[in-house]
Amino acid sequence: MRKVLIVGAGTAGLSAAVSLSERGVPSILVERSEILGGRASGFGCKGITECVRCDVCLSLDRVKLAKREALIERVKGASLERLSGRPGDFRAELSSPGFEAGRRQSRVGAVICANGYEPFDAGQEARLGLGRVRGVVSATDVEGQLKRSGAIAVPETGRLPESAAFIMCVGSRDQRLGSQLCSRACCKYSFKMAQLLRAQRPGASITFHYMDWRLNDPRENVRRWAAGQKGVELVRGRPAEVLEGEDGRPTVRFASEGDQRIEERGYDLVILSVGIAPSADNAMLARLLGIELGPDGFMRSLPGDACVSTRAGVFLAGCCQGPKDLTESAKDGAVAAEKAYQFLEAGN
Amino acid sequence: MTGCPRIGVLLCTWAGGKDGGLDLEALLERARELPEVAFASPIARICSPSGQKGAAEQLRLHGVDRFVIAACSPQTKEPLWRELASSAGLHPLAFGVANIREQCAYVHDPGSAGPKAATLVEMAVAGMSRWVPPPYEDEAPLVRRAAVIGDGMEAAIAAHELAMQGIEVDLVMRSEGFEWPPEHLFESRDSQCRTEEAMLSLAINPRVNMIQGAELIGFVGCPGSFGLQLERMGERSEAKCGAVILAPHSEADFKVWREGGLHPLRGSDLSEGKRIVILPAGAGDSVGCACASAKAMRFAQTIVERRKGNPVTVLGREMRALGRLEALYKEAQRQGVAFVRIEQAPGIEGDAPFKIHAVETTMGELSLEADTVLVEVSASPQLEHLAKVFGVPMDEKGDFLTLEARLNGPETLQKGVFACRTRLGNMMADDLLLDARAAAAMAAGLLSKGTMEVGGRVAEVEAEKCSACLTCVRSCPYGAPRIGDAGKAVVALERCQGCGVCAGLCPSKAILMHGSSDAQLQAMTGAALRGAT
Repeated sequence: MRKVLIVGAGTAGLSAAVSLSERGVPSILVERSEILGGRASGFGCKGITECVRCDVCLSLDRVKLAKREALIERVKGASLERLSGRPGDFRAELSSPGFEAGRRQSRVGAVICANGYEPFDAGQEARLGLGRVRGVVSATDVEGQLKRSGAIAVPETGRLPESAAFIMCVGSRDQRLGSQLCSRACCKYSFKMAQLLRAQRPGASITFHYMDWRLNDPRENVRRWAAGQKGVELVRGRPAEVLEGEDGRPTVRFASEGDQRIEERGYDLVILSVGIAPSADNAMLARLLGIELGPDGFMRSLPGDACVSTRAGVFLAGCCQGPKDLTESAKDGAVAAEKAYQFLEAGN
Repeated sequence: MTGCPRIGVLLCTWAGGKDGGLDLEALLERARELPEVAFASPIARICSPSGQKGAAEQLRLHGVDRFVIAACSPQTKEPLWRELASSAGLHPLAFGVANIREQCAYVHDPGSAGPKAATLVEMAVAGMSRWVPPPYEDEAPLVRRAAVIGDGMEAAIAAHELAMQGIEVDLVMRSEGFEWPPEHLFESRDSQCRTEEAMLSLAINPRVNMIQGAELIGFVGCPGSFGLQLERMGERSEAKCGAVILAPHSEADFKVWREGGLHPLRGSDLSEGKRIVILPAGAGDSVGCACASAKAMRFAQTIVERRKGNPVTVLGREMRALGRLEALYKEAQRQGVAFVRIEQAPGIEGDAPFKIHAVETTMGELSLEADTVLVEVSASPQLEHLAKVFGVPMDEKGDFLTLEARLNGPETLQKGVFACRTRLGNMMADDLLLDARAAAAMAAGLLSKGTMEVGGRVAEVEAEKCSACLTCVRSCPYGAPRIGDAGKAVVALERCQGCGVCAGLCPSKAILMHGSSDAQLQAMTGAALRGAT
């Protein structure tokens, strides 16, 4: 059977590669960076004494599984430059400083696009103080901290915060910033970070500045959790801004309950729960693969048939087609692999 | 296997530069001093092809009958160790693992990692010295056929995907025709059309056998070879399959509030000019304070589009429009659907027109008038029945309990039985179909192998000690033990999940739990305590 080219070795791409090799289909996994695992390779486990289903280890497992499969050719530090030929018999031109002459050509039967997303750059939202007010961090930074040290601390002091605020929907559901969609994963990771923070520093006060709770797992309920925890507060609404307070701590200005007053409250740590933005490469990659881009900047899938692009022989997996969490990306990978397998089986 | 065990110790020397000061030479010396150990060798990168080859040569050379691998976590490597054992001519499970990396060298300083690593190796050797070859078969036959159970689009799409992979499918339906998915489950008309087309195509798909109007009454057999007992028009039959996908559909998502209770929706409830309010469900036949789902948003939108002029208001604590559905929420607002965030369950007064009292998040108390009050409900009547027949536990929300995605995604605790999440989780078609397709992909993966592994970490009854007291038969959650022809308990390999409940409860201590037998655990504890002193 012809090989399948997979663009991107994140959770979705790795899952697709592993599923294909279980069926005996060889794949070429092209990854731009030098490591496998994608965004999740920079995330940390949020488990307390037991697993809280943050699913970060799922991605790490996929890396291990992909590494032991002989049918997966892993090409790191490389990118797709050109795709010619026809569905079922594509010629993919890859470039990498590692190749002789910097380029090579491979014949593949199908392509799975799994190039992922970019975390919203909270620096674009100047009023929230990232990079300007000490003690304001983005959730991506917190993930990095968790990965390195397993703790959520105030970066400047290295101490666990006594009070923390999560500002939700940063770079999500915001027409002004051109990011209208809900990012799906932020409620999930923020809730888990908060639980971990409380476990590491019992009694730490936590405030969520949120719009709507949209946890994907019906077993999880922030309201119920907050009601049973002293010092956890849910404040509805987007805060106006984050300033440096007189005591040097970040201070959040927001409208209080009932929109009657403006309140200012200082915290040791303010975490911006950043959303999932389309990858900056999407437009270029879509052109290269001959597929359509949706109006939201994500790859367009056929209605009712997620993972199938607008071009035969090209399939989609993971966040390139819209915001998804890790388990959904993994499922997507398996489904895209199945679709590619069906396509090749049908004699293409 | 009789006589003294001969154990080989293979120490992987590669640690990705994270080993700190672990003294591998000293570790090998300590291992060689153990009486059961025939040899201890360092192997460079034991999981690589060259490492595997070198290790197999060592095992052969020294004529050992079992071995211990001192390396990293067996989590993803275990299949490799099985291959190694087989390639050295040993029982595929004739090995123990001492994790001296993740659970030791990577997390401790060199001073404490060294002694701990030595103890871990000693424990693994002690455990293997009491090892008894477990029953195991890696190529147990598998019926290369699937069964999908359900009446709605979830079942139809799962069957469709399996058939596209070349797998023969029995689609077991309770009703005589499909339960067509309602419009409000779909983001767009296109998406609904494509799904319905796929459903219609099943009737002419030669790989799909639709069994309509069939009641599922029983489930027998074991993974790889299940039998579904069906009753159809008074006649009983059995469908054989190697994997099952449970995909029950859900019933009507919206009911009408009338005379203090919920009733089925009629066309006249939505007639022109009626003011419509959509509320979230509470417990039983009541309204509650839950989130307004994307389904409610889409339903409101279809009413506005179809009827024109109906004012529609959706009440809910959260507006749940995950991911791309945010666009739908925005569009519904643009078309004139009003959304009101409430803080507690609303009160309903009077009868058409109703007066609804609610507490809005910022404005506080408010009241609304409505001619029709719709309540969002979710029920999957078949779900509980299926969970019972298949012995699949349910989670606290009443949905099927499936394994964590990391372990095996949509598979349930019953090996070979996969479940799609249901509409109880307020999911729209895209999510439901992703689940159905993922379940189909997993099931196809299992079936395409053609054979499966059974045995290994399972319970085995020592017949001479068994008094046939039925304790194991009654306590096993998987129905694995039964009383055999000899009047003694016998454990069915394919059913045993290795939980150990029977071994713990057996009053005669007649059950050997392979991999964690009493003898092994005692030997390991002994070694651990020796190491600690």
